[in-house]
Amino acid sequence: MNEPAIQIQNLTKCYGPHCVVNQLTLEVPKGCILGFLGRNGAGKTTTIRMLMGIVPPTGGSARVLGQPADAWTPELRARVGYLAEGHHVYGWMTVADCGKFQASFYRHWNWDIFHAIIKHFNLRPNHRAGSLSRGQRAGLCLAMALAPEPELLVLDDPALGLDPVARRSLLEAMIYVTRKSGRTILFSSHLLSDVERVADRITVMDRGILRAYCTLDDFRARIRHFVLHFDGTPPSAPDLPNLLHSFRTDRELAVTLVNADGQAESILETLRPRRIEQVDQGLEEAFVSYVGERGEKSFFLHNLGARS
Amino acid sequence: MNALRQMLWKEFRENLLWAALIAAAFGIALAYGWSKLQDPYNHYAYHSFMWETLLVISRFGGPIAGLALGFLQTIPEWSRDRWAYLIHRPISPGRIFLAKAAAGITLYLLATGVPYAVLCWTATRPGALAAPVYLELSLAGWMNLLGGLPFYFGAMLTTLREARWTGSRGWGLLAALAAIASSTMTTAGMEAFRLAGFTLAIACAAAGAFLAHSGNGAPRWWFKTGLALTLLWGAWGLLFLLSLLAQMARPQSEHAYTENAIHLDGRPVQVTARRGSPSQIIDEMGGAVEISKEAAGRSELWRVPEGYFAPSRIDVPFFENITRNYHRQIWNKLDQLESVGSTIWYFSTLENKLLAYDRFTRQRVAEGGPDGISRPPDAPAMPFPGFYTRNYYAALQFRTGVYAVDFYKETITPILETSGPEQSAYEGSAVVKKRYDAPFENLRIFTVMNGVLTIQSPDAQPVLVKDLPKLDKKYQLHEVAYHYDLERAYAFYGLNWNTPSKDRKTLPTYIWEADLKTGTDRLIRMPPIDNSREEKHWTDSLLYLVLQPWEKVWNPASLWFKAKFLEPAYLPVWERRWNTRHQQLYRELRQAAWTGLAAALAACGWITFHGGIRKPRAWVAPALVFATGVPGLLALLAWKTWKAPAVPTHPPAPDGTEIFTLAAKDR
Repeated sequence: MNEPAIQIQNLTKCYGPHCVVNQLTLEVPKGCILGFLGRNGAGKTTTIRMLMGIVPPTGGSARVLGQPADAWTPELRARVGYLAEGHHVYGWMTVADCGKFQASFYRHWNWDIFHAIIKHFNLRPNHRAGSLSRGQRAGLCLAMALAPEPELLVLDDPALGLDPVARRSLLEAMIYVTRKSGRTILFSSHLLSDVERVADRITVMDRGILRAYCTLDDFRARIRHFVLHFDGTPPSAPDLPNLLHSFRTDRELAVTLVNADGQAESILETLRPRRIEQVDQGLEEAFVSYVGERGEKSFFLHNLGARS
Repeated sequence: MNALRQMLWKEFRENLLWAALIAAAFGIALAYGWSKLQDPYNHYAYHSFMWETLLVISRFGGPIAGLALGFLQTIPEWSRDRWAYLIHRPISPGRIFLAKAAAGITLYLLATGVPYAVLCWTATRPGALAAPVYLELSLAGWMNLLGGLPFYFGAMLTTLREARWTGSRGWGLLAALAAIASSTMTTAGMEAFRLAGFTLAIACAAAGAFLAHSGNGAPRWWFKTGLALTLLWGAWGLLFLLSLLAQMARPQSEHAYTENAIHLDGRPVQVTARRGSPSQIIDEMGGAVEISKEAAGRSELWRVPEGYFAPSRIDVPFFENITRNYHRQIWNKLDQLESVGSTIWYFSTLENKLLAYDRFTRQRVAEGGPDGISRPPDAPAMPFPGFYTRNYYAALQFRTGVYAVDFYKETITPILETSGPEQSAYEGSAVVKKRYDAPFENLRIFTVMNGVLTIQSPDAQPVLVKDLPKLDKKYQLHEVAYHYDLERAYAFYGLNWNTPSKDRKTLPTYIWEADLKTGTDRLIRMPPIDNSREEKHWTDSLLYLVLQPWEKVWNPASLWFKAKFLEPAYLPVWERRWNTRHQQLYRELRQAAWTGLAAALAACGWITFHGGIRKPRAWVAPALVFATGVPGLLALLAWKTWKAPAVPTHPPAPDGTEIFTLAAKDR
């Protein structure tokens, strides 16, 4: 009975020699809200589309609510709400038509939820869907995805292209409707503040590979940022285990480490800095450090002066 | 059911405008065609529904409309978010495709069928056309419209099918092209049957391609079958187009063809022609005859003016029952329109009567049957007995009789009437010999019955009755001819199609000559004729071998069967000329054996290396490839799931920067 909502085993998708999702293995338990993070092209949308049976995988397998993801049945589709990233609706339909059209496919359809969300987004039933703003269209799509009260909700970058107000509305609606029912939500996003507000746990994908699966606190705690202050020009960063990147300026050396332990701090101390400062990072900074470019970078003002 | 209805509504709503535009365009084109049909001076208008322009409109209009709707229903859906929205709903994707196809076909049939039905209804109004109008005549147009359905599904398949090579997506359209190309020259029922088969196969392939992107499990057998057939037909369509292009591109054949003929001065000669021009003329003794400008310019005299081969049980039903020939105009009457005023004569195979229409009032004004020509208020003419086979100038030939029709005097004269089926006109032939500028009275009608040649004038007066010479069974009567100036009749004898090539080089041919003035006749021995030197162009042979090795065995085998068990003397001319020599037959068999062997080896190799088919069934593959050629091998590949590109067997090694604090079982 404690079957995970999503089980992914070595899921792979390659286009020619290029693998956009590489041997992804993951389990998402029921009832959790999972933020699916990664840069553009990390493989988030492809993973979601493979889960939804829209893109056939090159290798591996996945199960959604216990059923194989390459053989979706209508019953399974009824249990899973899916919001694709473009917020597509048929533009020639009115808001009411959209609701009626979508409801005709479901045995269970909660009109209260649909109307509540429509109202939340200030949509009138006779509004033509094609003339809605992007935020309103997202709201309409969310209403159509939530009204069947699915057990699993998969949202592919739901806030993409929305202004902060629309984003906030979308999140509020999502939280309001989903939280109390305890259903599973998987949503991908670039907006870390949204994820921070909603998600229990996150996964981070980088160039097709799953690199992190943890709680938000764990993620923040595992990425540590040190600033070493020197009286003179700082030395290059030493060969530190799990170094993400370093940044040298005229008087400082900043290093970002992941999974750092006491040994790393001891090595930093051997550089004899005037002071070592550990800086707490928000999710956004931690994420940028984690998936950003690795290696050493430097920026010296005295070089600029010498050149001038 | 509600869900299906909603899907149908959505498809109708989205494509209704396009269908209306297609209907408008098609309607305008048909209206243009109709306006031309109404023109009393447009000769082609007298073809009624068989008028080429109308058929061209439906021939091209159907496929274009099918293509447009097929693409319009799939290309917009194919954008990735819209596709996800379409697919992710609790209804089987098969039903989504069904709704799409049902709506698309309905819209297609409405958009093209309604304008065409209006045209048909208008044409059946009295006085609408100066030609016989039967609804059966519209069958050809309806079949053309059915021909749009393979294109509809071909367009869907082109959009939906993922192929390694993008160009191969278009093979659905090539298969649709092959569908209409292979369905045209047959009866309406067979055409509909073939089109339905093609459409079903391409539709299966399109449905399978649709389901492949909807998380609906492994491809089903019907999808693989449909796709394999589509690829096979597509390859055939492509190679057919290539062969046409190759024929157009290469220089004209220099092959010389030799036949017996009568010179202007009455001498029996043997003419060898290249590219249609005489290159050598020899007389019965083998001596050269000068090629005069007159002889070269009046080829209708030194060559047989109107060759006719006795109809056989094989060819008559095939050629005479096709839908596109329900009625045929009596062509020579068009040449004499001036002298018969505004009356146009037709022969209707449905009523088995001659029918006359006034080109201005567009009303039926007369009918003709064996009892003569009648005009209202006289009683309608009796229908002719038996099946109409063909007409030459003013002689109508039926299986049980031949009639001469004088449209000026409005008389119909029986020339030959057989007593019943046991003495049917199968065994005889009627040939009308007439110079283009000769008056009707000079017309001569030849009939051959039980070895007796009868030549009659149009009023059934015998001009000549003679026993034809009885030659060895290797010979058969090919043609008869008449020289008006000298008043001589000729019969040309040649070797049967199955005469071995070595005999052709040595055995003489014969011309029988009868002088009508003196009543004497003689049999003239002519030099042998061997036209077996013709070599097929290598591009033809290559394409033929690539396309269908089995044909190499089948065609000679079928000829042999017909010759052995059917009617060797009456084999249709096209077959006789197509493959007349044993030598060529053996060569083709040899090519077939080599090609078949190579194809079978290729199939075996493929099975061995890829293991796509289980062993008990593996023998089917070489047989299939032998029968269908290289396209069959390609189609066979559609049955197998292509190997995915190499996938890394292990994820990249951890570098210590991973963060996994949550239990992900088996991760």
